[in-house]
Amino acid sequence: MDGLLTVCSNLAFLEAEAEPKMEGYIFGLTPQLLLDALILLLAVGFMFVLLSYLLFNPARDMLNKRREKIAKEMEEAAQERDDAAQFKAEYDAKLKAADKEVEAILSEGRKKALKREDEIVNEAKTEAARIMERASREIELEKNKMKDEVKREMVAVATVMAGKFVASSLNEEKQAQLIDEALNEMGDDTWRS
Amino acid sequence: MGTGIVSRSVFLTGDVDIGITGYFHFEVGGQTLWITTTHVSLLIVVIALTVFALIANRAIKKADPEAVPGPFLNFIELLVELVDNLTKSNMGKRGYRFSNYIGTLFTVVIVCNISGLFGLRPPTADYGVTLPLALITFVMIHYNGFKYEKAGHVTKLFKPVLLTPINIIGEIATPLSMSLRLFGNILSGTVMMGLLYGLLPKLLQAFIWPVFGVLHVYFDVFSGAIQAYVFCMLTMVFIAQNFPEDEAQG
Repeated sequence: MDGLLTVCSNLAFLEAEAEPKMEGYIFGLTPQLLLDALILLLAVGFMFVLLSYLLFNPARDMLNKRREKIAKEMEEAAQERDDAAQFKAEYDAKLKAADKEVEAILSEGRKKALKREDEIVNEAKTEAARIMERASREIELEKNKMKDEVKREMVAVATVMAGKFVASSLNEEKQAQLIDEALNEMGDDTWRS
Repeated sequence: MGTGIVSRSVFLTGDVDIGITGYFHFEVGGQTLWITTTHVSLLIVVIALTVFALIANRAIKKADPEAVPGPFLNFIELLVELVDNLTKSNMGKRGYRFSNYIGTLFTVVIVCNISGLFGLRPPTADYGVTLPLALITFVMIHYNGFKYEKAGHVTKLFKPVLLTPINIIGEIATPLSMSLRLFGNILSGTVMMGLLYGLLPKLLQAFIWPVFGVLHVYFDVFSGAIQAYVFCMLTMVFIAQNFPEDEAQG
C-alpha cells in the first residue's frame, strides 16, 4: 500500500538531474519537443513522398486503368448487345422470309410434281395405248398368220386329198395328157424371164 | 533533461517503464537533446511502412490487368479507395488533392498506434509526435483559409466583435485539442497496459494471458484505429471548412 501511494505521489515528479539522464519521461514543453517535432516532420514528409510515389499514385493509376477498362468493356458489351439484337432482328426477318420462300418453293414443287405426275400418267397412258395398239396389231398379224397357216394346211390337206384322189383315179395316159395341157397353157413365155 | 513529467521505472515494481527513455544525447545550443524510444519506434514504423510500400509497389507493377487481383492487391486497392472515398465524401471535389496526405497520415498514425502490439512504445504516446502532426493540420487549415477566403479568413475572427477572443482561442485550440486527444488516448492505453504488466505477478500474467490479449485489442487496435480515424476526420473537416460553399461537399 505504501508502495502504491508512493507511485501516485510521484507520478507528477519533476525531474531535474545534474548529469544527463533520461528515463520515464512522459511530457514536457522542452527543447526535446522541438527535436521530436523536427524528426516527426521529416518522417511524415518522407513517408508522404514515399507512399505517394510507391503506393497511392500507382494504385490509383491501376484502379483508374481498370475502371476505364471495365467502362470500355461495358461499352463494347452494350454495343455488341445492340449489334446482336440487330442481327437477331435481321435473322428473324430473314427466317420469316426464308419460311415464306420455303413455302413458295414447296408450293412450286408441289405444282411441278403434280404437273410431272400428270405428264407421267399421260405418258403412261400413251405408252399403254401404243402397247395396246401394237399388241392389237400383232394379234391381228398373228390372226392373219394363223389364217394363212390354216389356209396352207387346208391347201396341203386338199393337195394330199387331191393327190390321193388323183392317185386313185388317174392312169398314165390321163396323167401325160394333163401334163401336156399344163405345159401348153403356160407357153414358152413363162420360162423366158 | 529539462523540466518535465517523469514516471520512474521504480514506481512500477521495477519491471515496466511507461515513460520515454533516452538512449544517447547531444548538445545543441547548450541544450541537451536525446534520441529516445519514440525516435527508435518511429524509425521502425517508417522502415516497416517503407518495406510495405516497396512490396505493394512491386505487386502493383507485376499485377496482370486481365487477371483477378489477389488478396494483397485487394487490400491495397481497398486502402486506397477507402482514403479516396473518405476525402471525397468529407472534402468534396477538392479533397482529391489531399488524398495522399490523408492516406499517409492515417497509415502512419494507425501503425504508430498499434505498434504496442509488437512490443514497441507507441510513438503517438509522445506529445512530441502528436503536436507536430496537429500543427501540420493547423498550417494546412490556414493555408487553405487564406487561399480561398483571402483576407476574409482573418476578418471572420472578428465577427461578431464580442466573440473575437473566443474565435481566436478556438483557432488555437484546434491543434492543441487534436494533439492532446491523440496523445492522451494512446498514452492512457500504454499506461494501462504498463500498469497491468508491471503490477501483476508474472505467474498470474501467464494464467490470464487471454485477458491481456483482449486488453491489447481494445487499447492498441480498437482505440488506436478510432483515434487515427478521428484525427484524419478532424483534419479533413477543418481543412474543408475553408473551401467555397458550393464545392465543400459533393
